[in-house]
Amino acid sequence: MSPPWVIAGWGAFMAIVGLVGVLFFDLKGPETPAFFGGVTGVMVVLGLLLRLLRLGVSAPDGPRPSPDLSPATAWLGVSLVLLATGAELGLWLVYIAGGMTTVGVGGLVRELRAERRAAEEEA
Amino acid sequence: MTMAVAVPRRRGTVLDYVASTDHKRIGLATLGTALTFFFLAGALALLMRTELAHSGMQIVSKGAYNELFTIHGSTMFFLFAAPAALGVGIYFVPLQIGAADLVWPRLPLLGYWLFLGGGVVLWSGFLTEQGAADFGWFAFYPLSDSVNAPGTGADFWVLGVGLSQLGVLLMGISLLATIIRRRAPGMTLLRMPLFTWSEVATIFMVVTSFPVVLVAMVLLYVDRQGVHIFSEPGGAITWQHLFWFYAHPLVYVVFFPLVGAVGEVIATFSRRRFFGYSVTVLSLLAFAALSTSVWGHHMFTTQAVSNRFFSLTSTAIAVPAGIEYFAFIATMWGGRIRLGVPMLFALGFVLLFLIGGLSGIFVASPPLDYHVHDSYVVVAHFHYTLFGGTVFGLFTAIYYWFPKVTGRLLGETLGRWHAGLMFAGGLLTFIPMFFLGEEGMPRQVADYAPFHHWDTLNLLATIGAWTIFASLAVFLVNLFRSLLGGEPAGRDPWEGQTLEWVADSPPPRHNFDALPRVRSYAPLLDLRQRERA
Repeated sequence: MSPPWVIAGWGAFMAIVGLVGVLFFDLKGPETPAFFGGVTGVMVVLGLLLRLLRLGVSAPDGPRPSPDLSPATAWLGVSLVLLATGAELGLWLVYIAGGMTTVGVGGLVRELRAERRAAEEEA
Repeated sequence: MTMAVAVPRRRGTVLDYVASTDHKRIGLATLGTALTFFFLAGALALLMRTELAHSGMQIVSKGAYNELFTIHGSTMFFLFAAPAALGVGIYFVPLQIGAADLVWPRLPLLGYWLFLGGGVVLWSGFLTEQGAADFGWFAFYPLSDSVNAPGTGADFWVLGVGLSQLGVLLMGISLLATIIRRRAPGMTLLRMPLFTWSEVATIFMVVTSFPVVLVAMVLLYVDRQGVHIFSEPGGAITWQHLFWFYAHPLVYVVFFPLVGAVGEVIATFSRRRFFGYSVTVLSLLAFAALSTSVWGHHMFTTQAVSNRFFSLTSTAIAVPAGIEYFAFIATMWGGRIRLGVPMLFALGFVLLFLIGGLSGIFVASPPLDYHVHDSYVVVAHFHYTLFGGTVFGLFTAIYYWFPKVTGRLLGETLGRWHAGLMFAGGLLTFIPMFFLGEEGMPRQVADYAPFHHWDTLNLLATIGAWTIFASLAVFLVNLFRSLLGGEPAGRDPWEGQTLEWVADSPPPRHNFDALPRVRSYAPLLDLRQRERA
C-alpha cells in the first residue's frame, strides 16, 4: 500500500460509484457524470504522476534549510486579498494591491534564492 | 526524520507571529482565528434564537434576520469548521508522523492569510450600506443574483468565500504532500495514526471539491457584474450542482479529522489499542468517497437529479459510519476506561453525532425528504452532525492536545462543567427543532404566528442556546486560568499512543530530538508494553 495507489484507488472507487449511476440510473443531465469523471481523472492522474515521478515514497532524511519566517508570503497573502477586494472597491485598490503583489513575489524569489544558496553551502 | 539547520531561538517578535513557517504556529493561528469566528457566529446564533424565543418580532428586523442566518451559516462552515479541521491537522500531523516540518511550508502560511482576509472581507458586509449578504449560506440562484441581492455586502460574501476556501485548499495540499513525503522511518501508511488517516480522507475531499467552489464563486461574481451565466435556462440548477458538489463534502471535511481525534482519545482513555484499525482506515476512505457522491440529495425536490441514485449513495454512507461506530464501541469494550474530560467530549461526540447520523438516513429517503425539506427537521439534523461532530470533536481535540501545545493541563473541574453544560445545551437546543420541523415550522423565518403554538418549543431551544453560551464562557475561563497557571503537563500526561507524545510540551521548532522505532500505529503503546514485559 503506497500513496500513489491509495490516491488512484480512491479515484477508481469514485469511478465505480459514478459508473453505477450511469449504467443503472437516469442521471438527468451531464453534471453528475461530469463530476464523477472529473474526480476520477484528478485522483488517477495524481496517483500516476506520483508513481512515475517517484514522489510517492517518504523521504524524511537529509538537511532541508527552510526559513523560520517568510514575510514575503504573508505580504503576498495580504496583497492577494486586497487585489480581490479591489475588484469590488475600485481600480485604485487594484493598482495598490498589484504593486504589493509584485513586491511580494519579488520577496519570495529572493527567499527561494537564499534558500538554494544555503542548501548549496550545506552540501 | 528531517535534519534541519539549527536556528538559535529568540523571543517572539510580531513577525514571528504573522510570518512564521513553523507548522505549529500556522496551525495555532488557524485554530485561534477559526475559534474567534466560531464565537462571532455563535453570537449571531444567540441573537436569532433570542428573536425566535417568542412569536412576534422583538429584537431584529426581518431583513437583519436574513443577514444573521446567512453570515452565521457561512461563518460556521467556511470560516470556523473547515479551517479548524485543517488547522488541527497542520499542527499535529507532522508531529504524529515524526516529521520536522511541513512540505512547502509557505503554502499553509499563504493559506492562513487568504483565510483570514477572506473572513474579514465576508464580515465587512455588515459595514456596507445595504448590509451583509442575506441569501443563505448556499446562495441559491437567483436569490444571489445582482437583482435580488444588490450591494457590496453580497459581493463581499462571494469574494470572502472564494478567498477563504482557497486558503483552506492550500493548507490541505501542503498537508497531503507532508504525509506522502515526510513520514518517519518505519512509518508505513498502515502505521499512521488514525487522526492522520482521517486528515488524508479529508484532504481527498478538499482537493477534489474545493476547486469547484472557487470556480462557482468566480462565475457568480462575474454573473453579478451583469454577464449572464446562471441566468441562462438551467443556470439555477447548475449553480446548485456546483455549490453542493463542494458543500456536501464540506460537511464531512468539517468533522472527519475529528473522527480520527475522537478515535485516538477513545483508544488512549480506554488504555487499549484501537480496535479494527485497518478496517476503520478503509471505511474512512470509503466514507470520504461516498460523501463526495451524495451532493444530489440536497436537490431531491428540484427533480433535476436522479433521486434514486443519490438516495442509494446517501444511504450507503451508513455502512462506513457504522463500521467506525462499531470500532469505537469495540475499543472501549473491555478497556480500563478513564473518564477524563477529553473522553467525556469524545463520548458526547459519539452520542450527539449518532442523532445527526440517524436522522440523516431519514432525509436520505426522497419521500421523507420531500416531507421535511426546508423545515426545522433539516436544521436539527445538520446541527447534530455539526454541533455533535465538529464542535464536540474539536473540544475533544482541544482538551486532549492542549497539554502538548502549552505544556499545561486544562482544569478538570471546569472542563467537566463545560462538557456537561454543552451536552445538555446541545440536546435542549436541537431536539425541539425536530418537533418544530415535524409540525411544519420552516427554516430561515424570523417569526411565526402565535396560533401555531410553537412558542414553548422555541423557548426551550433558546434556553438551550444560552446554555451552550454558558458552557463556552466556562471554557474561556478555564482556558485563561490554565494558560496563566495551569498544572504542568509534562510530555505525556495521558499515556498517549502516538509520536506527538514523545516531543517536549510544547514541541521545539523542529519537533523531535530522537524518535522511537515505529512498529505499529501505536508506537508508544508498543514501548510501554515491551517495558512491562
